[in-house]
Amino acid sequence: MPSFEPVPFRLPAGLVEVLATFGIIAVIGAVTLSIMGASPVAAGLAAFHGTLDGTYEIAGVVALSLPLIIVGFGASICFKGGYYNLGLESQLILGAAAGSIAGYYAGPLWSPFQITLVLVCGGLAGAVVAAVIAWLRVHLNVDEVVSSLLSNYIVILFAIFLATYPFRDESRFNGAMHRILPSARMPTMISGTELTWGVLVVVAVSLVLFWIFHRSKLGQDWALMGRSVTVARSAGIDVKKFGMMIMTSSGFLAGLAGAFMISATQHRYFANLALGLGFDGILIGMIARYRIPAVVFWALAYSWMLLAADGIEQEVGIPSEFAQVVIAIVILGVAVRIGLLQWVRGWRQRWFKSSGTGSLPAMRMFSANREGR
Amino acid sequence: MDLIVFITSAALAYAIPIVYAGIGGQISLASGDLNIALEGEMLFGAFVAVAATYFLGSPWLGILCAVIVGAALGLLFGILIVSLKGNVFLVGITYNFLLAALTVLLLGMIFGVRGSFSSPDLIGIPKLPLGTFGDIPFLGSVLSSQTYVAWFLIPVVFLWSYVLRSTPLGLRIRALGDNQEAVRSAGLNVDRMRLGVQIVCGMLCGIAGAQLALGALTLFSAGMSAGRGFVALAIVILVGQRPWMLVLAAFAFGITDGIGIKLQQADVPAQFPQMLPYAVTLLALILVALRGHLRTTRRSR
Amino acid sequence: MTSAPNSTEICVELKGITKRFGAVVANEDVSLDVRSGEIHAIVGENGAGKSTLMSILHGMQLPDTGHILIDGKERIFHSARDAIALGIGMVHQHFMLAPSLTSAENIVLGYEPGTSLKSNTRDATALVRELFNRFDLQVPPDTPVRELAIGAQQRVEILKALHRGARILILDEPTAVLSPEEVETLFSRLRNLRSSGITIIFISHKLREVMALSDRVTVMRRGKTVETLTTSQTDQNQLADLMVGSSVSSDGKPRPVPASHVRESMLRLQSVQSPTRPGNSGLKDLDLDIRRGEIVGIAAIEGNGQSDLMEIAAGVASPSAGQVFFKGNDVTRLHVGQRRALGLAYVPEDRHRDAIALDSTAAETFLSTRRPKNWIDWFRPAMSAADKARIADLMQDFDVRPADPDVLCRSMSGGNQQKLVFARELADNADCILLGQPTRGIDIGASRALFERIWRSRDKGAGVLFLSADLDELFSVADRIVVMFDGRIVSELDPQSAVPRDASGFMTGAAHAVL
Repeated sequence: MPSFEPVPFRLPAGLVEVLATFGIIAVIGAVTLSIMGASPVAAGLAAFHGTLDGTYEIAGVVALSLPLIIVGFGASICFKGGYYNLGLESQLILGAAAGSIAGYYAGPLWSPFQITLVLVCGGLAGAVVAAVIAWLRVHLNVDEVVSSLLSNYIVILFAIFLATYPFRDESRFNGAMHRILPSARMPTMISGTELTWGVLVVVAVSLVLFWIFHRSKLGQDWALMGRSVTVARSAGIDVKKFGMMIMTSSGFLAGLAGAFMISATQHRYFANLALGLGFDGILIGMIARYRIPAVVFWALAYSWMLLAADGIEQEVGIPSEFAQVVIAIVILGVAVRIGLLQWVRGWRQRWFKSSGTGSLPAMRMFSANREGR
Repeated sequence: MDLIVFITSAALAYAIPIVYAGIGGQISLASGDLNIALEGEMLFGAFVAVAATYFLGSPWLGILCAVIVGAALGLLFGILIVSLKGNVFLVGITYNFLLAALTVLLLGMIFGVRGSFSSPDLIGIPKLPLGTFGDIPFLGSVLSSQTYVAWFLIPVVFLWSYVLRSTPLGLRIRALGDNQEAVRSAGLNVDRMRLGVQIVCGMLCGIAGAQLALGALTLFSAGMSAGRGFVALAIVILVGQRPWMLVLAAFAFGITDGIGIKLQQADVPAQFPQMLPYAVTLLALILVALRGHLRTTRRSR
Repeated sequence: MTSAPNSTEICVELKGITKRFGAVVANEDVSLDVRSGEIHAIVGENGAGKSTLMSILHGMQLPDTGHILIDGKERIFHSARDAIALGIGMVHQHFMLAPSLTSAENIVLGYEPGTSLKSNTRDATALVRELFNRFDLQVPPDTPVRELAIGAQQRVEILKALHRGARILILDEPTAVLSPEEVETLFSRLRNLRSSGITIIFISHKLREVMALSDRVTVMRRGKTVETLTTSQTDQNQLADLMVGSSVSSDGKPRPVPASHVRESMLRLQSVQSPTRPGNSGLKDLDLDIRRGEIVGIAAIEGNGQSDLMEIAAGVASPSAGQVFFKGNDVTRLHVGQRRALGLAYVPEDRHRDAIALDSTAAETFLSTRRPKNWIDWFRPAMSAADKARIADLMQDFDVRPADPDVLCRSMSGGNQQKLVFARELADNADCILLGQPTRGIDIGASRALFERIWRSRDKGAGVLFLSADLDELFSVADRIVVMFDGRIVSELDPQSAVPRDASGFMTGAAHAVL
């Protein structure tokens, strides 16, 4: 019977995709900047100087990307499984608050143990919130999109309450917790930068998740849940249990990302910490199309763009949100890329063929509704 | 009595933008698309209304611009989900994110400020003069502080509920959400109808934003929609295709907001009253789901 | 039996119609002429191209080549609206109704009286009532259609077409979902419509009905029109021969006799029940025993509980009462994954909903039913090189094209997807095999190959449950046929001695056997 060559090395395709996306980002960025009356070249130089020309700058980019990577994983695995946990934002924040509490009130303990405790507490806090939303979805069929969006406001306010009342550091202004014990802080890797040995935690998490989602049986069934719940059920997957697991583990990762920020860089939770980070993670998961290595890549690219945009803001006075706008436009393009390709192909056909043949729009049935879920 | 006046005013201030956006969401859901971009479209509408009012000097032109831009945003959203077949949730999430970032970006570029913008040159939407009706005890002071846009809501709800229930247009929209193939086999252009619905939804979100920024207050601040679009969406899921129930539910949630504001002045941690409208909305969502759940299990035994 | 058509004037003429979907030719050089005021039947097996032809005639699809002539004039339909404008109405097999709207609203949808902003509810109801009287078709106008029985829903579909001014009415497999009384009523209504001047095109694969109703009949086979005959001058045997392409009796090779075994029970359902739903009778205290080494065929009209039976037997759905035993053990509480681990194979009825995720590769589809035995298995590699080689072999073996494990299911044709499902379910020599409509959408050769395999599994001792809408297929494959009606088993037949016609009486509830 036929022998099998190993799976072809796929990097070239990935590389093409990355280059194409960066090309598009560069074009959109340059156009946007020109419209705003700034010189793209000056902006490009400013972007480079702030972020890439030295160990400190690169360390800054990496340090910023670490929590984004973790929460990006959270979004990826959730969306991959066909569930839309949009409460990652608040789950991350609650995780930060829980980590902050564990880092001050428990201990001092042996440092590696306490750091682990902080991370696990943060993760569990996020997981509990996500589990509640998941339970409502799986057993009562409460749409998790709406419930998780609403939960954000409730959970964030609850975290702020924790920082304002029961766990407040009285020596600080409103709404800040105590600074965590030194034993709960991750040791710095390159002195003078925010980069800590926590990078090893992220590497470990990445490797484990890579194995699970790109190699293991669990990852394969997980993906099948995302493709079709009914097929998954007929294949023998316990879809309720899986649904709970998918949502809960994404919440765990969000909480872990929050606690990671506390242990690595922030060292305390305060009101308004990390606002928007969870949504950043969702965007990263989407642009990476739920692939673990791509999440790492895009989280790095995203934090580079954020810092570069800060540099541009100082240099040419364009608000740094322009980076987010550009990224959002690219993600919209990614979200509709299949339709976009069909559309382009359709026009090309219409251009080259004079007679109208093939199926009519009437037969191009495709519902954007979530019937399959 | 002051308390009732206060809570009623606060409830209306909270509810009116939600009802406008909610009708948009209701049209969209009736036609089969659960539009989670209401939040972003409303926020951007608020920004456009403020910017246009500031530069053109008239809140009416501000509203007009917000509606036009809203229509354009709705059309773009429609193209992304209908013509280009994007997943309505992924596009919706990104849309919210894009529009929120865009308001901050434009705020910095146009007004050179971060966070929020307010100016004495910024004129709010005029309030409808009520004449002697304004002297009615309690109610008078509430009613006379309502803008034209707030009053305009009444004909809008009437019109929408009439269109939905009694016209061919409403019939087609309902059929579209029920079974797209039925509409297609009647030879109607499903894609064009869905696009049209999104345009109207965007326009309503534009008005909602204008009322939000130029109604009770006259300012724009980043993220000022504060989840109202999501609350509107939750209400739409709760009430289905009943426009007046939408108004009622929005007002009820508005009252919880009013109570929350009052409670903040009392000796309660401010966060809990602030949570109130979201928590109550979520609770209502759960209760309705629970009722449906009990009903189906009973039937299947 | 039927009166001759009033005229010989041709109102619909199709000439040289060809339609391809990718590599599949659905219609090839099809020609058809339909006379005004006749009931014209189009018969053919599943996949013979009847439905494609009708969707072309109704403007849902454009033909690749060929001409459509209506009343002698050539027409091109760009959408259903063009066809409707020329008086062609279609009653789809799967009704195109909006379930939460009332029947009146469904009837007028898209063609409402009045202008687009004028209130029309009362007008619509009045108009619909007038239609009721004119064509003697009664349905409650203000009831949401989801609360109507299937027969009434079909009347809504017919009224919808008539409201749109149809003079030519196409009915696609209209009897598939009806009870026998409803079929009788439908036929008399259709005869009435014919006498009021409506031309009817009736698509079916049930020859008895075609003989009873039509004036003329066109036979299709493999995308081509074979012949058009006057119904009164032909008989069922001739039509059957034309449909299959050769004499039916000589086509089926002799059925292998089941090997004699000790016949212990493989899968047993004991007084299982499931709730009645609109369009589905549910199960009413059903007992069924599938023994080692036998093929049990299920014959039933859609909606009589056979789908619930399959899902409960598989463990996808749980019964509201009753028990399921697998090899003597109570498995009622085990879900399909756990039952698979015990040696059950399951080919679901609805391929795209339940069997194949289009975004999975062939190998992923193949491996999706493999259940981890303990927690560590979840973290083992999903696919080894050996797995992949085996999958490639099996794909070759089951004639799945392309036989490439990495190909996306989306890019395979429906028939190949189904063969992939067979490969997955039959590869492991399961002890019990549940087959829901396995031959839907696959060609005769693939069906034959499947039957060979089923027989072989049976001879090795497997118990097989075989559900098919095609009675001839059931009778040539199964060892024992169980007829279901209204959620109960109403008869059991031996295919050696009985013929398909015996089953159809029980399927429609017309006959009752004493069990």
